[in-house]
Amino acid sequence: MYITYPVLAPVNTPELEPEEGQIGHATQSRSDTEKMPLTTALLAIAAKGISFATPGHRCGRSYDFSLTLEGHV
Amino acid sequence: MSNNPLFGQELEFLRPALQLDQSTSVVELGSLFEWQDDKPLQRLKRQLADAYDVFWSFPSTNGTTILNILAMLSACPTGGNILVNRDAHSSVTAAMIHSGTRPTYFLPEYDSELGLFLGPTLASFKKAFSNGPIDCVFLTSPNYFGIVGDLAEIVCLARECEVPVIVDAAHGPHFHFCRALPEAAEDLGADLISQSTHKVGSALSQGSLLLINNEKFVAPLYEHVNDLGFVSTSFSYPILASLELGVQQLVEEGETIWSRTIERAEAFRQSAVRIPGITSFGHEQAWKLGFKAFDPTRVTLDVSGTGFTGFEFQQQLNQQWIYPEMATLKHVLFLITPGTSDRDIFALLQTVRRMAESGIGKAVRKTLVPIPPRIPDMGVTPRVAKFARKHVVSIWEAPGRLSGETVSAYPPGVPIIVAGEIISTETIEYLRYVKDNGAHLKGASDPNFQTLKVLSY
Repeated sequence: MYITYPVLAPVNTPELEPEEGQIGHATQSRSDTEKMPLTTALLAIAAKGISFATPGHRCGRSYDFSLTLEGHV
Repeated sequence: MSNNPLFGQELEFLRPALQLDQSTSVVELGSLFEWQDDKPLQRLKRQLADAYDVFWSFPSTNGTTILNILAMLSACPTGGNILVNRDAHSSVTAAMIHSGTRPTYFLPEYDSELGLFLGPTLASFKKAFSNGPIDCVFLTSPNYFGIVGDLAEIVCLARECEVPVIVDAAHGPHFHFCRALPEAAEDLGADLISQSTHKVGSALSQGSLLLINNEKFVAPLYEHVNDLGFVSTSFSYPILASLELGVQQLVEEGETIWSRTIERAEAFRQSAVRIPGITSFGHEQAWKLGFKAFDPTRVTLDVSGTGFTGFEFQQQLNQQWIYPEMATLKHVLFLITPGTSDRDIFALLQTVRRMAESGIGKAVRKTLVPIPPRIPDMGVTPRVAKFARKHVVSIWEAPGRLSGETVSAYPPGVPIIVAGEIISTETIEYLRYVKDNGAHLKGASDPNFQTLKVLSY
């Protein structure tokens, strides 16, 4: 048996909707990310971007998956 | 470093991962370098192996590349003969450099209608297999586009001949857990299987897994792990924890979440092909040689009918904050995962439609990609070529010499010349032709392909 942790129940983590002025808001053009410090650029992409690429831990986005950093990835 | 306005907030953001980032000196947790005690890390390896119904597992916090290298070192004798599909990942070439093996290549089926390589066929494998003594077989399955060839038949034949089989299943960690997906290499009896849990499952980047189906490769594996420095002695616990939870997610919910994902991917595919200029493919291709099974969560759109190249299409999607997995001259590949929402797909479809409409009226590029020339003869092994002295010559002076570089053409997406192989006029003419017709030459030291590195003897 593999079960060592409580079953991960699906929860509806709200999708991130950046507000005006926040990183990732539509007024910010994507090319700005090229000028940002790395972590800021990553957060901007995580907030605004829609990924159809690896890594697959996006899989956990709609799960109560503590390692996915509170739904930010 | 002083211009980061979110410095404090970002540290807060990292807090959950930082809490898991313990010292590897906490001996009671166990070690990646051992396999014979009873500590949490050893139990994790056992549980990961049990999840996939294999003998043992080796988790990597440094991606799948090192797993491919360790697998080849463990299963193929140094300097031995290895049979490899020509469209293997560059990590396989790296493994051949480290192990000094002599490759014999075989080409998977090329589909000129789709403009893609499909999977390997039993016939092409048999032909290459019968050409000489083979110590080990190294296959890639599925390929990037989710296509599986005659994997079952090839593994079966190799096992009958008692030749070990390694499968780079980087894109197949979910197969074992969902009946609607292709059969997994580990279930077909392959000896060593590398998987990128971070690419498809929920592990953090670089969280990968080597599955070991054959007990005799465990001891050599750990010998290489301990001797060769491929595994950091400061391995990452957050990545290991994400592997544990990611595989557990597959065990608990794999069938459900991947079945749902397949439905969502099919719905996307059906909607996308209604957009003028866009085509795609799926299970209907399964009558073709080299197309035995398919992972439908990989959606490849052929955008060549829109007037854009795949590369241009990808670039424009990026400008809209949409990130596909990859592009070729005529395709864009999208991975649909359990994390993909209906809203994501809706946004993607709207953007694809808008872009396709904007391309109407542009001349549609017809790129004729001829079938690659025959695989060149090997002069020296990849290892010898790697460490040999080299110099640069005009491409037209190169025929007859040994190549000092590996050059792949996209399309068709396969190495046309590998370092150490004998360059022919046919090879140069092919590369020049596809380059002049818009192909990207990956690995060419001269981006204009006027010169080429050759070995200095």
